[in-house]
Amino acid sequence: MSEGGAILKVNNLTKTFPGGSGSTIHAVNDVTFEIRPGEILGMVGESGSGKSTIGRAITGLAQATSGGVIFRGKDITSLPEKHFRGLRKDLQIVFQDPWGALNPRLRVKTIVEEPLRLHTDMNSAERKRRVSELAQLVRLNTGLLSRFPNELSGGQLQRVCIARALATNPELIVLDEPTSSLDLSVRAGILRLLLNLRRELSISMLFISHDLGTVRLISDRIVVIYLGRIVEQGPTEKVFKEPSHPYTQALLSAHLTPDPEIGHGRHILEGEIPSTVHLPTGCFFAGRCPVGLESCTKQSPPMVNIDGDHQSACLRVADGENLLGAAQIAAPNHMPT
Amino acid sequence: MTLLEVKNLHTHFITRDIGNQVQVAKALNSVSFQVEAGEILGLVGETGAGKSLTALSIMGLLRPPAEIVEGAISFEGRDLVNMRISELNKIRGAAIAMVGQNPRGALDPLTRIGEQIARVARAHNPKLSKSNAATMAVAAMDRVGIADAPARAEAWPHELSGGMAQRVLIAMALINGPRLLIADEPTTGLDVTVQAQILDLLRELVQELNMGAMIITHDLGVVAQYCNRTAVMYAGRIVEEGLTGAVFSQPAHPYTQALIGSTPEKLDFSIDLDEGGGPPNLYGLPPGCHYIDRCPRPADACVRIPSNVAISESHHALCHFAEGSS
Amino acid sequence: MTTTEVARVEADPTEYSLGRRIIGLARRSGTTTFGVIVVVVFGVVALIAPLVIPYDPIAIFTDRLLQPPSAEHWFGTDGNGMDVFSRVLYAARYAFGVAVPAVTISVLIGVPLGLLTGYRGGMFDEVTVRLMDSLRVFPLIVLALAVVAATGQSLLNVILIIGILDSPVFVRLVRAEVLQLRSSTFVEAAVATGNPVRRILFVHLLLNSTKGAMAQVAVRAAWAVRIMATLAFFGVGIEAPTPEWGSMIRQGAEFMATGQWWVGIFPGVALILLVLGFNMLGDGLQDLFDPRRRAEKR
Repeated sequence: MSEGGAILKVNNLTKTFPGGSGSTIHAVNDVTFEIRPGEILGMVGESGSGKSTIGRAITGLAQATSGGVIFRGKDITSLPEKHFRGLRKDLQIVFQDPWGALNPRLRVKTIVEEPLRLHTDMNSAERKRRVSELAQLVRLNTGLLSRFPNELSGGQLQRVCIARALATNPELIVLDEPTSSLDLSVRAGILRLLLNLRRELSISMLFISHDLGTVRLISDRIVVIYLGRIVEQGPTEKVFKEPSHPYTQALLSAHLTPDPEIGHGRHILEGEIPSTVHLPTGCFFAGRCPVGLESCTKQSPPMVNIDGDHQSACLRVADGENLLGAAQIAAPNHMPT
Repeated sequence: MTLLEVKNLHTHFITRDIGNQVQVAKALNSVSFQVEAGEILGLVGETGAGKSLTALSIMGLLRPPAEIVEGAISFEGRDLVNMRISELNKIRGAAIAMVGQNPRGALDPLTRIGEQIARVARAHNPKLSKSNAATMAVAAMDRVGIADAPARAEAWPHELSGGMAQRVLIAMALINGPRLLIADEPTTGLDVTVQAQILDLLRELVQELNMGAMIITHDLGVVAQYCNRTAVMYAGRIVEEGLTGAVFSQPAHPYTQALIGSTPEKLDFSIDLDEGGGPPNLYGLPPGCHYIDRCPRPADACVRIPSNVAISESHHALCHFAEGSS
Repeated sequence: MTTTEVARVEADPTEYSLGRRIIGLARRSGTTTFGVIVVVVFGVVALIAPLVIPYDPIAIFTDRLLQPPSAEHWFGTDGNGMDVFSRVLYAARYAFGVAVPAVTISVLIGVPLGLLTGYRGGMFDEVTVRLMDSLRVFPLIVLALAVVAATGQSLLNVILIIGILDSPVFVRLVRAEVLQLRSSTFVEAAVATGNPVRRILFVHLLLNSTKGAMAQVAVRAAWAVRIMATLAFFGVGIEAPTPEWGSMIRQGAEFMATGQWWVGIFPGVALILLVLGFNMLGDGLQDLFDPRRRAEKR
C-alpha cells in the first residue's frame, strides 16, 4: 500500500538507554534514512553502532527516545503495543540467533502458523495449506514441519524464521544479522533465498550486518553507521568502489578478502570505538580519523551530497581531502610463503 | 624445524545417553599435521569439524567424556599424550601458549590485569620476584600494543574492550617466550577494524620471535590473509592441506571447493551449492568418506575411507577423486 | 556451538519418550527406583484398599482390644479393637486424597501467578513477592487450628489451607524461570509476531517455565502427606474413627509406654515410607528435568 514513495521513513531517530549508575548510553544518534518499495537496504556497522537498536525501534520492540518512524505514511513512533500489533502483519523481523528465536516446545508448523492465527481469520485447513506453501517458498523440507526446533539445523531454523516472517505477506522485513550465526556453507543458501524472495514477492528488506562481503552481495543501497550516526549512504556498488567517508574507507580496508592473491595496503585504525556513554563532540570519528581537522571536533558534519543518491557526513569531502588514497585500500598482496 | 607434530590423532566422546546406552562420538579421526617454526598454520572448518577439539587435545585439556583414544602428539620431539601432568604443566603456558575466543571471559574478574599477566610469569618461574614479574608484565603489555601500559596494568578486566582484552591474553601467552602459539578463534566476536590489528600483531610476533603459530578459525578471510599453510577440516578429518595460495587457487577436495565457493566474494548462484545442512552427526558418521552425504559427486568408491592424494609436494587432499582443479 | 557442545547435545536426544527416560533414569539411580516403586505401590493400595482389606477399617471388635500381631490380625488391633492392618492400608486413601488435591491447588494458584508476576515485574511483582514470602512464614498448624475452630472439622478446609499455603513454592519457581526467559529472543519474537500478553504468558512462557515446578510436585506431595499427618496427630481435620496415619500414631504414642508397640509403629512406618518415596521420586524428577544436576552426578 505504498504510494510510490518510501515504505519506511526514519527521521532523526535517537535512542538512549539508562546505563549503570545513572549514566546514559547513546545508542542511536539522530539517524535519518528511508527504505524504498522492493529494495534491500543494507545497514553496516561494528559494535556500538546501534544498528540492532534501529532495527528494533522500527519494529516496535524498542521505544524511540526522539525522532520519528513513518511506515507507509503513518507515524508509528510512539504507538502503544496494542495499536502496533495490527501492523505486525505488514512489518516483520528475523533475528540473528535462529536457535533462540523459536519456542523450543512448539512444533515448526505451529510456529509458522501463529501469525496466521493472530492476524487472519483463516480456518485450520486454510492455515495448513498456507504453511505448506510457505515451507516450499523458503525451500524447507515439508517433512520437517512436524518436528521440534531442536531437531533442525541452523540453516533450516533460519528458514523457519523467514517463513514465519513471511506468513502474512508483510511489506517490510527487518533482518538483524540473519546469517552471522550460521556456518559459511549455510549462509549462501539463506542469501540466495532472500534474493529469490525479493524477486518473487517484491518485498522490501532492511539487512543489518557487520559483514561487508555479505552486505555487498545482497543490498541495493547501503547505509554505514558509526556510533549511532550515519556516516555514508548510497548505492552499494558505488559506496564499495568509491567510499567517501574515512570510516567507510577504513572499514573496507580492514575487511579480509578470502583470496590470498588480493590483499590490502591496510589502513590500520588507531584505538578503539569510543564509548557510547561519553560521546565525542563534533564528528564522532574525528579522534581516529587520519584526515581529521580541528574543525571536525567542533560540530557534527552535515550530510554532503556526493552525487545523486550517494552522501557522506564528512567535512573533508568538499575539499576532496577525504580520500585515504585508493592505493591504501586495495592492492595485490604478496604473502610471505 | 618442526615444532609440533600430530600423528593419526583420534579423539572420541564416550557417553551414556538417557536410555543408558553407550554412545561414541568420533570427533577427531586420523588427524595428522605439523607446525614449523616461523610459519602460521590455519586450521579452518565449520561447526563440528573438530578444530577447537584439536587444540584441546594438543594442550591436554580434554575432559571426560572426551579422550584421546589413539595417536601421537609431540612437541619438539617430546610426546605430549602420555606425559606426566607435572611435566606438561611446565610446557603449557610457557613453551606452548594458547589464546582463545571470548577474551573477557578468560580473565579473572577480581584481579587487575597487570597482576594476572605477572602471575603467568611467576607460575613458570617461582623464583621471580613480584616486582620483576610486574615489570615483565608491563613490558609484555607494551609489546602487544597496549598504550600507556604502566597505567593500564592497574585496570580491571571489566573495564577493557574486547580488543584490549584479547591483547592482554596475548601478552599472557607471550610472557614466557613461547615457541608455539595456538590461537583458537582469536578474533571471532571482535570488530573488523580490531580484528585486523590483532592479526597483524600476531603475524609480527611470529616473524620477530620465530614462533610457530596455529590459527583456528571459520573465517576464510583470516586464513587467506594471514596463514602460510591451510588445513581444512570436516567431521573430524583434515580433508585438505597445503600452502594457502595453492589451496585457494586449486582446491582439490569438494568440501574445500564448496567452502570457497560459498564466500560472498565468490558466490555464484547459478551453480548448485552444497548448502550445508548442519554439523555432521558425530555419533553416526558414515564408515567411508565422511563427506559422502553432502558431496556433489559421490561415487561407489566413497564407501571406503579415502587416502591422502598428493596434488603437489606440499598440497594433499583426502578424496578418491582429487584433481588439481575445481 | 563447539564440537564439545554438539557432542553433548546429541548424546541426549529428547526423542526418547518420557516413560523411557524415567526408566532409563531409574536404572541408573537406585533412589529414584525406590521412590517410583513406593509411590506406585501405595497408590495402588490406595485405589484398591476397600477390595483387599480383611476387615472394615472402622469395625470394632470389643473382644479383641490391643491384640498383638497374629494370623487373624497381621498388624494387631488397637485400643478400640479395630484391625490395624486394614486401617493402615485404608489410610493411604486419605494420604493421596489430601496430597493430590492440595498440590493441584498449589499448582493452579502458583503457576499462573508466577507467570504473571515474573512477566509484569514492577510494583505488582514487588507486592506479590512480599505476599508470597509472608505466606511462607505462616505457621500452618496454628492457622489450621484457627480455621477449624472457626468453621468446624472439615477435610476440605484442611486441603485448601495446605494448597494455598504451599503455592508460594510454585510461584517462586515459575517466576524465576520467567525472569530468565522474558528477555530471550523467542519471547521477543513472540511479541514481534503480534502475540497479545495472555498468549505470551500461557502459550510461550508456560510451556517453557514449568520444569522446575513439575519436578517439585512430588516433593510437595511428600510435604502435604506429612502435614496432613501432623494435623491429624493434633486432631485437626480428621475425626475419629477415620483411619489416618497421623491420628493412629497419636493413639499409638499413648500405648508405647505400656508395650503395645504395634498400634503406633505400623502407621508410623507407612507414613515414613510414603514421604520418603515421594521425596526420592522428587529427587529423581529434578534430575530428569535439570540436565545440569544429572551431569554433575555422572
